[in-house]
Amino acid sequence: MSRLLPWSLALVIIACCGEVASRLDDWTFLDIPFLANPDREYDLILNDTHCIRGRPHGRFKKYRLNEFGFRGPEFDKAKPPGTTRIMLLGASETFGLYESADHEYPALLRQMFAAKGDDVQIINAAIAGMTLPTLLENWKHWAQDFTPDFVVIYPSPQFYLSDEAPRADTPKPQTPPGFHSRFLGRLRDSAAQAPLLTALRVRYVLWRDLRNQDDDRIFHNVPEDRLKDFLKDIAALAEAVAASGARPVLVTHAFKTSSPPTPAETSELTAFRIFFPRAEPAVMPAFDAAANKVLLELGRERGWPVIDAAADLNGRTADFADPVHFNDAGSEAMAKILVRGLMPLLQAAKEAR
Amino acid sequence: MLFNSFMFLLVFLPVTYIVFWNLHSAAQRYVWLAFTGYVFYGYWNPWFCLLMAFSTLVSYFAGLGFLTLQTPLARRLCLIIPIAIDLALLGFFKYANFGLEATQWLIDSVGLDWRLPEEMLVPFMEGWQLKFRDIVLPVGISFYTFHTISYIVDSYRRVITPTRNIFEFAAYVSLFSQLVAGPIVRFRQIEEDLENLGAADRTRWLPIGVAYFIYGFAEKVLLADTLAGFIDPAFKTWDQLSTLGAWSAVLGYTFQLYFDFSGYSSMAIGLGYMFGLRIPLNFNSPYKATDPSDFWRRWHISLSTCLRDYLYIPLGGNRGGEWLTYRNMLLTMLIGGLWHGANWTFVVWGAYHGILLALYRVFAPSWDRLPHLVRQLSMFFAAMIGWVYFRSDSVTIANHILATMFVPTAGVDVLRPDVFALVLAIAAWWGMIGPNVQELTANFAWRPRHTLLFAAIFGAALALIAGGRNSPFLYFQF
Repeated sequence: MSRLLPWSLALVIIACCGEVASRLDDWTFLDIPFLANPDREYDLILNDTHCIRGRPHGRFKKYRLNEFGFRGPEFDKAKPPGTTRIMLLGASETFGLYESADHEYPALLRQMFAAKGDDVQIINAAIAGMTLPTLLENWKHWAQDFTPDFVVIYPSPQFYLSDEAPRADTPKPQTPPGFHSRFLGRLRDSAAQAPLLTALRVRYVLWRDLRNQDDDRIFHNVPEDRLKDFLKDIAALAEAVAASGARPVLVTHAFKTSSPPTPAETSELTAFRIFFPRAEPAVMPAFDAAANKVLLELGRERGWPVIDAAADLNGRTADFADPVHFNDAGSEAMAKILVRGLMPLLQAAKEAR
Repeated sequence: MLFNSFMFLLVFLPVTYIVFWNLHSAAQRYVWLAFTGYVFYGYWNPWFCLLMAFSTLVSYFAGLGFLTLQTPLARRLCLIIPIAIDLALLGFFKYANFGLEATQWLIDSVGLDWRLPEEMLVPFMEGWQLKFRDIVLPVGISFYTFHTISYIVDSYRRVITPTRNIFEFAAYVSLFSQLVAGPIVRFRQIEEDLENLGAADRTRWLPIGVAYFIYGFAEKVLLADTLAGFIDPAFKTWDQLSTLGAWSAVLGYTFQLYFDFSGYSSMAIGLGYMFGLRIPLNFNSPYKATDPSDFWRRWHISLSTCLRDYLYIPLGGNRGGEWLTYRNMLLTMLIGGLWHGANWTFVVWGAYHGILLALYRVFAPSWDRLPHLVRQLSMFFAAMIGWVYFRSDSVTIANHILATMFVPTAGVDVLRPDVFALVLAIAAWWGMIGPNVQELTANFAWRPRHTLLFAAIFGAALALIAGGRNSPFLYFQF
């Protein structure tokens, strides 16, 4: 007992000092109040009456939202005269995930246009986890009020490999998060990044999710019904954008691995499968490629410009942090592609004015 | 693998420790230490292990040569050939690009229209092209090259008896605690402990080993990495800094570098103790130094003594008159600077310290009469100016930062100046006034208060590591 006491006390001290250090560190470098209980979902997402949108002045770790709940600097809602306003709609790939702060591609796009001296305003209206039907609701009830001239839509086809086809999320009441240990949160995040633990977790999650699945529920090939859903949803969003007077610009979705994937790539896709257990690894890039194909056709049919980012970025493994999210290098490459694709459109719009 | 990583703390160290103390003979422990050294090193890039193994074998056979060959010519060959191989490897991996760039600059300067090749065909490897820009610097090569060269030279000088046991030698070279960033341990300094490794007393050394390790952990994670959080963004925007911002960044770096490297060295010494090996000290409160000579007796002691014994003294030391002494000093510091990295900034930094040492030699009688505090603060200031070149990517950037420090300039300050000032004050107190790790652990005996203090440090450091702000040790790049 007398030997156990100091060690028990030591554990308590480790926990207390870890908690205090975590909070001081957050306060110093992330400006998070010492007693706050940061929660990604609550701090960054607002379930409004009609739609889900970014929380005004939301803050979580490196993420900073402005007064309208968009990631990026403050701006006036009324568009300044002579300014071209470009809004970007999408999910975490556009909102930013692995990139350093201010290195997500919309921020770089903003910097690149500013460096060129163009009077272009970039609004990053993306929210992590947003499916196309949810984006449509967001557009109808919130984003379109900002009267952008161009709306760049960067869809996330992988959502169509989920258990159920994406539907518009209905806003639910939110309650502020209660106390939780930030020290434990940090340890959990670190553990989640450890390769060995990640590999074990992937094995366990896939075993748990697949053990009772009938084989006919697994996507062995590109599911045509899901592809149709994707086409229907992207068309509906682009039509809604066009109907409001803005010009939709579609962007093909970039994917890290080739299709079909190499054996080395398959292991990374297997890890990614925990989010989409119904899809066999090879189906993920195949579905992405098929979605891009229908996106290109849709643009051609309706006369909506399409920037083929996938043609440049697919397979450039050094530009991705996981199969779909960019790292700093990837976001820079993506921003350059978008500048190149948008410049002629801006020029044409200028001439038309 | 970093000492301040979960992989090291929770997996590598416990496994290495438990297995080590469950082996009972010295031979088994040599094998285990050599093996774990390669696992530790291979964690960065397994291919680097081949290079280290090659360097180890070359030096080991040189040692055998000294044992068996007695003619002066043979002994000289056993000295020159392996050193030439070691230096060639170091030169290729560390200085090839720098040498090519410097030569190209020279060619351009004299107006010749001649471009040096950027790639070459690898001999005996048909179709293999080597692009010089693609050469990767193997982590820690400067350190283990020093280990092997010191072994060869000391064997030649008969200061040590070379070992016949290849695993003992491999364990010495690849000892994970000091493999990648020192201290530069000479074989003679741990020869006795290595010989007695089979009879090492675990319980005798464990408490002081843990104490060294935890204090080093605090220096590295709580101080150096926290300072880095403030100053790294400032150095990224070096051309936008205000005068206050530039001073803050340079002051912050002055302490960050010290606590980073001193922290690493303390952790290495602590790890050495945990495995029954007494690794020599590397720092002795260098910012308490009162003159350049004193500074180099306190900063990176293992490097400065190596430079003294294997470079300065063989060059003639102070035996050839005043001017030759100055030349030897300057040459030693220039090479010492270049050892840190293939960049003109290190050459300037080395020359700067060479000049400081020479000036001190000239003015020592007057200097030593000044009040202690004036001398300490002046030496601190002089060291700080040198660190501007040490930290900067180019001489131009260093000059710009120095100009910003001394010409009032408006611009960007460091993040959270109030909190930064507090952290800096703690660092300054510990670095310039407070006790260093060896003073804290002198006559160390474990008391319950140590359990609580170390638990507090460990918990806080763990939180910062888990927060993802832990950075590699600054000296890994050398």
